[in-house]
This record gives sequence, structure tokens and C-alpha cells, in this order.
Amino acid sequence: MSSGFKTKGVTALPKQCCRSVNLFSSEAARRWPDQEALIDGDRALTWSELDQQSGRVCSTLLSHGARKGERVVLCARKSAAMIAALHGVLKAGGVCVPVDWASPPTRVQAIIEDAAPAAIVASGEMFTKLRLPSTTLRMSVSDSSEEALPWRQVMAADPVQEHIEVNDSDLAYLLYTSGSTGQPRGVMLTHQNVSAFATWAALEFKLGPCDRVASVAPLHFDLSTFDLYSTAWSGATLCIPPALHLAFPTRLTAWMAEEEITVMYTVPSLLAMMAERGSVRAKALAKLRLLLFAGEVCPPRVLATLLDLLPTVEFANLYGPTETNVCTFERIDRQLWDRSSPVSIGVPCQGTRILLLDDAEAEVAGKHQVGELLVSGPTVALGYWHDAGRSQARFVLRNGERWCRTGDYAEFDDAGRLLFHGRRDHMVKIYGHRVELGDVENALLRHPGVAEAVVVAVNEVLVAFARPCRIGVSSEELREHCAGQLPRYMVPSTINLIDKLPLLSTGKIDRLGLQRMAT
Amino acid sequence: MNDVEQFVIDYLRSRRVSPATCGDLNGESRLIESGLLDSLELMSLLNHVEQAYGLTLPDDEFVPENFETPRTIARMIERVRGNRKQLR
Repeated sequence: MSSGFKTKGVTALPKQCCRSVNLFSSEAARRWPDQEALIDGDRALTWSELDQQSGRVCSTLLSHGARKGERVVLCARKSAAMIAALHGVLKAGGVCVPVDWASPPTRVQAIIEDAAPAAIVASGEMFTKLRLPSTTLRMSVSDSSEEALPWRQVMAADPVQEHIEVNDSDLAYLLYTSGSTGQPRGVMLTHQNVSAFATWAALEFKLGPCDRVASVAPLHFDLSTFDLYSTAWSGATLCIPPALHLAFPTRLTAWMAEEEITVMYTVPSLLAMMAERGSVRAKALAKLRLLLFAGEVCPPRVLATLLDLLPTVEFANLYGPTETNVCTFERIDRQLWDRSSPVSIGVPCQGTRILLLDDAEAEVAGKHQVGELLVSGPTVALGYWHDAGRSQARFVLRNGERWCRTGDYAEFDDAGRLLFHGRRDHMVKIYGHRVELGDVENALLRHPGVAEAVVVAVNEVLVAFARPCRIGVSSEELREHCAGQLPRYMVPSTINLIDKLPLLSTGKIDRLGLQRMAT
Repeated sequence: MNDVEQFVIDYLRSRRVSPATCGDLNGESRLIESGLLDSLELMSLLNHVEQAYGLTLPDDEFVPENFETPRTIARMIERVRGNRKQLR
């Protein structure tokens, strides 16, 4: 064990924490059969009902020949049916591949071709937009569907009481993130990865059957593993808000009051909407006790506003890329925080170890020295799907242990807490979503009228510079082209047409210069 | 169609986030149902309107009913501008 400011975090997680995550919903049904598991509009499901529904999904998969380790793509709006489907896929020993249903069909198709799933759960209309092999089992979350097995038929299957045995190291999830080559990249999460995070969070923040957790993160976002599995592990109730509420913060806060939400885990951009336009009143949100946030740096102004508006609520900043899930955390101390600098990302979670590497690849020994943050522990992903090269570069052996190089830079402060310094490559965060600028640039380059393209981010806004290779290309046309290829948050807000991209003396494109032009 | 409504339509056309629905955008186009306005687009529209008209929309105006069509958005802007004039 290292001392001082070297490798941090050593305590192992309790043994019961590392159980396979496919046992969670059945275990909840055994312990809290009549406790509410899920609220979705005017529908409520108990843990025993949710367990039964997920059993029917499991049995449908198994009876159609799906085998352990096969992928199942889930691509529809979040609903009670989708939650049952996720638990059901895990029970069948399958690998959940949640995909953003609002993405353009070309992107969904690219993910499907990469994941090669045995089955797809989606809305009826989604099937008309996709090209699928005839062998792929299609399940529709709608009750009537010509293209797929309708949900009422899935729900008529015999519920499977047994589940397929899995090991801790078997895959549970493939989560696709933006990749620098222009193709989405699948992060492989094992049962242990999901379980270790979900149980740590449930224990650390004392989740219990009295908690009502707001489910605001989309299912393809790693934050949702807290919503699904920390609640299942602790018997809490998951409440799904109507999708429209996420765009209208006053509606969201009114819904939170009505549903007596106690816990919410979200991205700072949603907190900003609540702080600025949410009409947040402590009296209405009397039951709220815990707000967790992650995904990007929370603007101090937003956090300070919410701390004042909600004086009794505990806030915590969670940190970690999809490859490690949450690996460090900081409970906000209202007395100690200066209210003007971004809050620290804190200390390693129980069971996780952190080290910082300087530019010479040596371990940073002292405080206030910036280095790349490396993570080791039970939440560190298995690697990238079908990409051994990139996996080897990101997941490295050091001192006999497996570490994930996050690409994020940080330093230890006087108290041994981590201060976040951001990145040195071309990955940015837009509203909590990871965006590889290269992914956006590649989409622009796929347009026949674009010769060169560079994308920069300014205050969470993407600005593109494109050099056209023929006359008559308009920025509107390019925007439309991008909207057909990329999820909405990745479509540049502005596309500037430019005759010549500025170069540095090295011949490289002057990205900083472009960034200044964009500001 | 009045100026405010045209202003909203021009802005939405300039965003071009959804090629399918932008072509025949008019005062009565359903913006939220069609998916043309999602939470990100709403926030940028809101900021754009506030900047252009130099006003701050009260929280209670920021509700789905006011953002159903370019016309309902225009009515809301006019209402908020009217209230402000009365206050002077």
C-alpha cells in the first residue's frame, strides 16, 4: 500500500456488494414483494410484479433461442416495459445494449451492426426504419405491431422463475459512447462493474425502501445504472417522469413535489435549468434529501443557487467516465466550499484506487501536481467491444494491477482531495454527454461538399469550421446533413464556412485560434 | 402572420435540426409533438427570444402549452412584453 498523496483508496467493498446484477430484481421481489418498485405515469408496479414481467421477457428470449452472452438492443422511450426488459435481458444471461431512441436511424443502425444483437426491443415504428437480419428476434414495446412481437404477447409468456447463471466477469452491458473515428464505441461492463457501483452508491447514500428515486437519466447513459440497480438492491421506488417534464423545469419540480421524490441523480445542465427556471421551493420539495450529480463540471453559480434554495438537501459530486463508472465522490460541505470554485471530485469510492501519472509516466508523489487520473477497482470496465487495440491503450497493467487511463487530469489538494483539470484531447462534454470532436468532424467530412472540417467547443456549444470543396454549399445544408447523422446534442450550433483553416507553424490546424474565433 | 411569429419561424428554420419537419414550417406547426423542439432546442430558443426582445420570461410562462406552435410562442412573447409595458 502506498502512503502520502500516492495511490488513494484501499478499503475493499463488502462481499455481498459484488453479486451479479441479474439477481437484483428477483431478490427485491423476495424481500419487498408488495413494495412499489416503479411508477410510470398512472402505472405502478410492485417488486413482485416487475420481477414477473422481467421473467416473461427472459422466457421469451430463451424460448427464441437467445443464449448467454448474446446482446439485446433496447431502443425506445423509457417506460415500465423498458425497465422490465432490461432486468429480463440480464436474467436470461444477455447483455443489455441501450441505445438512444432519438438518435438518427443511421446511428442506431451503426450500433446495431457493431453489437450484432440476437434480439431488439424497440417501439413499433423504429422497426420500420432499421435493416435487421431475419434471424433477429424483434420485440415491440407497443401492444400492436406488424413488424415485431407485440408487448402483450411477450407479457403472455410463462414467467421464468429461474435465471441463467452468470459470473461476475460476464458482460451485463454494452454502453455506446462517441468515438473519435466517427463510429460509436461500445464500453463493456460486467455484472461486477454494475453491481459494485450500484451497491456502493446504495450503501454510501443509505438508500432504503422509503426512498423514491427520480429516473431522469436516459437508459443509454451510465447514470441510469444507479436508477435501476441501486433501487433494486435497496427496495426503493423508481419514478419515471413524463418525458416532456425534462424540458420544462417548473413541470419537473412540480412532479418531484407530487411524487414526493427523495433522491435524484442527474447532470449539472438539468440542475442549471432547475436553478434558473425551475421555481424550486424547499417547502414543496420537503421530501427531497439527496441530489447527486455527475457527467460534467457543475457551474459554481448553479450549485450555490441550489444550496440556498434547498437548505436541507445533501448534494454530492460524483466523478468517473463510462469506462470506470463512478470512481471518486465529494459530499458538498456547505461551510467549507467557497462557492466560487468548482467543487472537488473528492476521494475514491470504497473499493477503488486512484493514481495520478505525470508526463513522464511516473506516479505523482506530491500535492498540487497535475497528472492523468488512473483508476483501478471493481467498477473498471472490461474494455471496448471489438476493439482490442484501443482497449490495450486505455486499460493498462501497472504494478501487477489493471488500471484504466481516464484521459482526465487532476491534482490532490492539501486535504488529499482531487481537483479536476479536464482533458488534453478532443473529447468534450455537451450537457453531460461525451462528444469526441472527431466524431462530429467525420460527420461533416461525409458531406460531399466538405474538404476540411474542424469542430471546437465553447461553453458547451459546438462550433464547426468547414472548408467547402465546391460552390453552393451552405451552412444550413451542412447542419441538416449533420442532423441526419448525429444525435442532436452533437449537431454543431454554428457552422462557419471558411476558405482556409488557420495553421500553426508546425503545419497543424490552429485549434486554439479557431476557438478564439468562435468565442 | 405577425412579425413575432415570423421571427420564431425564421429562428427555427435557421436551426434546421429536423430536416423532415422544417420544410413547411408555419404558424400552426406542432413543435413539441413533432420532436422539433427538445429540451436543448427549447433552452436555446428561450435564450434567443430573451436576448432579441430584451425580456426575461417568468418561470410560469415556461410551460409546454406556450411552446406548442410558433403562434403560441409569439402570443406568449407579446403577452410578456405587454405586461412589462403596463408595469412601467
